[in-house]
Amino acid sequence: MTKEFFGISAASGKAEGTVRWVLSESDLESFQVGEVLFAKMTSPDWGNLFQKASAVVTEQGGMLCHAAIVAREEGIPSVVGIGEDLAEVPNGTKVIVDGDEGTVVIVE
Amino acid sequence: MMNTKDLYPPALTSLIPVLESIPSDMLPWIAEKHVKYLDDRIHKIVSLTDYLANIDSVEKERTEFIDFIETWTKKENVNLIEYTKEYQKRYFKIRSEVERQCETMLSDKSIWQSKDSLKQFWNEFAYYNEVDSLFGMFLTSGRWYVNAMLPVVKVLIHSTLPIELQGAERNEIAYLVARRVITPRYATIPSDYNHSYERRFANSFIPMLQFYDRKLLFLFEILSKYNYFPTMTLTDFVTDITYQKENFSAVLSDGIYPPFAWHEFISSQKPRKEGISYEVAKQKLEKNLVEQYKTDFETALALLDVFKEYELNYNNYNYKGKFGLISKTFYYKTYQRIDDSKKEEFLNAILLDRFYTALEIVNHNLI
Repeated sequence: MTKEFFGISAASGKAEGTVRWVLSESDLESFQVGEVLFAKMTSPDWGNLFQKASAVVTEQGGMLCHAAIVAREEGIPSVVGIGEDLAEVPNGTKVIVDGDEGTVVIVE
Repeated sequence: MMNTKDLYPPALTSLIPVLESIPSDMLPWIAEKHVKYLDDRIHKIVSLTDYLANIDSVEKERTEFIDFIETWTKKENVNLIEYTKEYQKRYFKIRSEVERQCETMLSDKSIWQSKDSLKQFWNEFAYYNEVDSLFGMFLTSGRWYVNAMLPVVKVLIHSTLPIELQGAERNEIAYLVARRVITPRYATIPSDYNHSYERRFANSFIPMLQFYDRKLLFLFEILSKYNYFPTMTLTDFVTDITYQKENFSAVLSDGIYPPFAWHEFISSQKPRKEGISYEVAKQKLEKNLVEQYKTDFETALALLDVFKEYELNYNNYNYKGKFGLISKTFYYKTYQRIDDSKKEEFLNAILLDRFYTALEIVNHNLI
């Protein structure tokens, strides 16, 4: 399956990894280094999570949102504001996040 | 060179006098509830946004604010100085109301004299803080329909779009791109919308935002100077500050209460990469600048700095400083007067900024 999602470029760079949705506290604990952080939006106390993530993708928010700010600070690519379609991408899906093009491509 | 000095937000004052007015045994409770509130927000932020977006009590203010920003964002040849003056007037007005309430919460004993006087104050408190929350949501995120920076960002886009786009078409595309990059959830785009314009702008704007991100995250820099050890608790941190204020005077005098930045304090211990200079930050935007719009562009850049100061000011005053400290002291005292069966419900409402839900509990459950 190859599918592309379009959002807003929020932090430059390109990264490949597997999707990990963070929707509850248990998701915070199980997040592995190198996974791609998927969230509706992010929160200020996710600092350590951003240090583990290879990229950040959100349903909501624009270039000024928290996810965008922290991704730029951590130097990892970020695409934000993709919308509710993002919910159809399950955990474990391999994706390429292109922070310059504003795209998330499913590669398997 | 344009003078924007008078357009900046009100300077924050030292927290030391405020801390001296709050009983020190309340401070661990205040800090713990503040951090718990942040943790809870992880799971509830979408419903929180929806609460504020739908609450009837401030519908008039919400609608008017959205219209104010939309109108200025859509305008052609917009006078951004006038927009900023108007915004400043609104910001100062609500801040002065919140300041007045802070003074009452801290010093006015009359509100505690009877159930009716407490209810009366809560009624006013709920209204002004719901309105103040609108200012926060319309300033610090793109989760809502508009953001106060939209008119400024739109002018930056308008000044840097390809030269062949002219007149009304240029204005319309600048508006759409601004809505897309700042508030994508609420951007309605036509079927022939060209995404390449937004990609071009976003890539040129990222370095400028990186420059301001570092300013917004200044607490990481300051707090990295204090020692954190893995067994340290939030209460230890509160105690250190209570009894060694002089060691934290640099942060306190900027209006910041360090325990409210507990997560930043822990994260601050790792090394950070070097920040980007302003000159480097604006290079990509300048590369796309169309010469005839140079004055507009420079005005927008200067006002972006002003609005980023408003964002910082709001965060520091409301989330990390004076309002957080004084309001939580007030919540603590009210909590003691709420019927036991409703205490938790009250805390859940007020710590998640549901002012009118908390008011309803206060109105029917004071002992």
